[in-house]
Amino acid sequence: MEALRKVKVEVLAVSLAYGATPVLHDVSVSVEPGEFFALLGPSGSGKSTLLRLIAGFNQAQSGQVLIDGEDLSRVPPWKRDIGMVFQNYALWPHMTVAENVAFGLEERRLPRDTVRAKVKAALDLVGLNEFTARRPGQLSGGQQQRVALARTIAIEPKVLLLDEPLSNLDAKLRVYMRAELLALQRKLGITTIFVTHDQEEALSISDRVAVLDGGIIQQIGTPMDLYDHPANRFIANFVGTINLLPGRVKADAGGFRFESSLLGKIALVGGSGAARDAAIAIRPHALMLAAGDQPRDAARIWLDGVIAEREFLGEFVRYTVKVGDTDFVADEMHFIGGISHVPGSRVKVGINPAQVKLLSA
Amino acid sequence: MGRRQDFSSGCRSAIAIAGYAQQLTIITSFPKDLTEVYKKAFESRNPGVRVEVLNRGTSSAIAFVREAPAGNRPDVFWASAPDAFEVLSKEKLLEKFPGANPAVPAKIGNYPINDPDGFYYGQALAGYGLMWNTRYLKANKVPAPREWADLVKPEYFGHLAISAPSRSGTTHLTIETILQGEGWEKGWNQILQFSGNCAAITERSFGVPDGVNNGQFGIGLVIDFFGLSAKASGFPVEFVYPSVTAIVPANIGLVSGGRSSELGKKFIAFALSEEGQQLLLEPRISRLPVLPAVYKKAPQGYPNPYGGKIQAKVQFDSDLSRSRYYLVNSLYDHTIIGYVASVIMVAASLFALWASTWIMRGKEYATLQRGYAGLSRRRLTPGQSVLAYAWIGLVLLIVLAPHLGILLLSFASVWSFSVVPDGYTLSHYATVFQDSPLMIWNTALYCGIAATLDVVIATAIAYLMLRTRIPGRQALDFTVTIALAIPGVVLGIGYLRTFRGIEIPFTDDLLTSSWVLLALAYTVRRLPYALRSCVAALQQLHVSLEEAAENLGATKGRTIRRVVVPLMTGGMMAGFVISFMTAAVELSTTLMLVTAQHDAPMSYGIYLYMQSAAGRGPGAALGVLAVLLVAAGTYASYRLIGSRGNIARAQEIQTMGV
Repeated sequence: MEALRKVKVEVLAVSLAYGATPVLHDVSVSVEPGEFFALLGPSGSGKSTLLRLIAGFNQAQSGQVLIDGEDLSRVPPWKRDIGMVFQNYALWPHMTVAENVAFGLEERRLPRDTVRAKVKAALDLVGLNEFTARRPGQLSGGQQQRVALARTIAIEPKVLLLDEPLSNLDAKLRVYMRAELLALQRKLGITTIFVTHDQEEALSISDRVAVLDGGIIQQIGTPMDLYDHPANRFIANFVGTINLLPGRVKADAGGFRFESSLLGKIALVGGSGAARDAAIAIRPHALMLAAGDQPRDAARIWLDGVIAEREFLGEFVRYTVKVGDTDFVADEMHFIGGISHVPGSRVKVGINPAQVKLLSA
Repeated sequence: MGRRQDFSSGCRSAIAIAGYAQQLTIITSFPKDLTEVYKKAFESRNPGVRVEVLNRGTSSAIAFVREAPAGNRPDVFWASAPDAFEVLSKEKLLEKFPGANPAVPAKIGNYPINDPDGFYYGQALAGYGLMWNTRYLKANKVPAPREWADLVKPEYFGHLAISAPSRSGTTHLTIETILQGEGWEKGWNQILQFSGNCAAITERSFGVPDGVNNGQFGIGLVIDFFGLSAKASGFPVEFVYPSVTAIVPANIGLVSGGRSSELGKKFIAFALSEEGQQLLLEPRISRLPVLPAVYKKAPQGYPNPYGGKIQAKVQFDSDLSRSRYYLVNSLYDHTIIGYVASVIMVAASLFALWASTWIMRGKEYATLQRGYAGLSRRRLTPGQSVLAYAWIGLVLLIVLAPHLGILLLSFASVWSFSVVPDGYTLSHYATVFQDSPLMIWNTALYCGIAATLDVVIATAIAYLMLRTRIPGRQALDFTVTIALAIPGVVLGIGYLRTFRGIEIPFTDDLLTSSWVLLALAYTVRRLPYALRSCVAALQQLHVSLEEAAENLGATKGRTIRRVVVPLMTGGMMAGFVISFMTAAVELSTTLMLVTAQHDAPMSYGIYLYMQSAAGRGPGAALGVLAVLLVAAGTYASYRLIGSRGNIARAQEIQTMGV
């Protein structure tokens, strides 16, 4: 199969409600040609609705969907030329694998020979050519998913939409298939939007991610952007694990400072505006733990704590440390023979101000 | 099948030119055994005349005459119950004409044979008596009864059968006769006691002779011709008139506003003539003529009410009978059948309903299969296999026993109080193929049309209900389902009234006298079944299967054709088969809407046959053919739709969990 023409997908100020229930609110997303783009969010966030809107199965009350610069808002699904892979694969049980894959090509009234060649090419691409005569019921979950994928890319759509494509697979297969998906997408160069509630999945294979919550886009960015510079508390919590400390931002003679009872005052770089409530966020691996007699880095702020819980996760050990009434989650890399802290033991928790991210409340 | 063509007016007028224009229509409650003889005799005496006999229960015959527009009514009304004629004459649906045969006496006992007002005439006489199965009595060592009073003896306990007087006009007359003959006190005493000896109180009057014929009951209280004709048909039965009996006339009258009144008058004159009266002596009919002269030609031992063998002591007072009609019936129902039983039954069914709701609470979706992969099947040990097959055999035996009985009955010459019939014959099938090949074709045609329309309509409604947001789609479901709540007779009357006087476009035929109405009624009656089946089929289809098709470029129409319909095939076929089968056995609507014998389906034929003792064999044969027809229909639809290989996969669709 040849590489496909790369097109741009733009969602402009879309709002959508089912009756009185708002589902999408003023959503704008722009997906670059050839990009592998993820829509990430918890269930009920509106991510699937947005995907179905692009496919044409939903009607927005306002806003536009542009594909390759063309407004598709009034175009029915069957004329959009957008391929979608459904979460349950939606294979037709009364057709063989080959008939399933040929369906879209037949609907396009292509000559018989062309259909046959394209079906073969699509099935070759997903490595399922020996199963053409089988029925979907005779295939494993992973194989069914490949058929669904082959069926969709066989029509060489302008855009590929994937709705939770990996959620029905077991953990090992999921990791394998997501690499396969990415490889396929890179090979075809097709603009791909995929929906997932799994942040690890989204971060690991996407070029960029849009995070939705409550029908509102919370942040759009590269995976690293989202992780390092969460725009708000929701993103900070949803993407990876994080410690949040509430406090207040105040201005004084030396510039802006963050004040909290635990940490005292921390000087902020830059900053503007009036005094306000805020929070600082610290990733678990950015915290350092030290037993009582260890030498300590003076650049860090050190707090007294007690180990409450310990989880061994292989690459690292995750501790829950109680500092006063506040729980901190702290990760320590693990090596053979490395020491670990025992629950109940007293430790010092070291915070590096350079690794702290200020969030508005 | 040639008759089918006269559905179009062109053929009708062609027949008219050929001199086949005259048609006489008789509506009657009498069995086919009787009417067929008269039809043939009258037709052979009047070349060019065709007699159309509409066999109905008395009350539905009255309803039919009422609903038909003037000028399009049957010509002759012929039935037992004098009450029916009273109703018709009150509503000016009978026409007075001087047609009495002067040789017929004015009265039988105290009872006037002809209507004193001249609206109808006595055509035959009927007395009430006792009928018994000789084999049954011999086997149970019970002596043959002679009088009502014999029946109160303890040795008859569990051997009698009677029909409820509130349900059967003839049984009411029997009870009334005993009350008038023995007096109120003594009469009730007797009735109470012998009712206590009954094995059953049947709902229909024919249930009693039928049960005696096949040996289910020993002795039955019946009208004379039930006993006499069964004996004449070879059943091991005897009949006797007790001394406390009454003889009353069965009547015939001219309907006003009939299509051919002159022919009607001619037929009534024929039925009352010596020739016509003589027909009553035919063994299969065995009724008492009103014309005394005819008894000279009767075979030896034939009962003669005119001072012959029957000593009818009771001078029946019909005014007294009419004045206390409801009193007698409700006294019988309350003291003997016992309304307590029905109260208990209602309470029990209410409790069952409540219990099932309570148990099923919150389990509404338990049957919706959503899991992945099929069920695993286990291999049985030899011992388990034997047990399993024994169980299957037992269930099959219980379920198929009545069908086997019908099959055996269709080949039986006489089958009465014995494990297997006395002899075997193919003559019932010969009778059926001679009488009613059209009925088989009619059933296939009407039910085929109805079931096809049902599936098409039901699929469309299911799609509207489950896949669109059209306002009123739930009302559609409700409207369709209403048909279930309406009795067939009522629906039939509704059709007759609604389409009264409306002609089928491009023909001169009235819609109400055409088989089209029957097919239409079947369609409506059976639509709820097809709908449930199609809705269930579509519910199991995940909507993403359709979205996937649209996504790949198929329009809504193409999606329905290539995805929805093939995947609904199983449900649609089930709907077709259920509609077809239930339409094939639909009786109440059929009885109301059949207006010509050549348009009648098999259910009507079976009903007619089953009304007489001699008809049980052919009735069973027709029943067997009906079963075969339904099986053929099922197989044909299986092949037709299944040829694309979809049915075998119906299960797969459900287990895939999409």
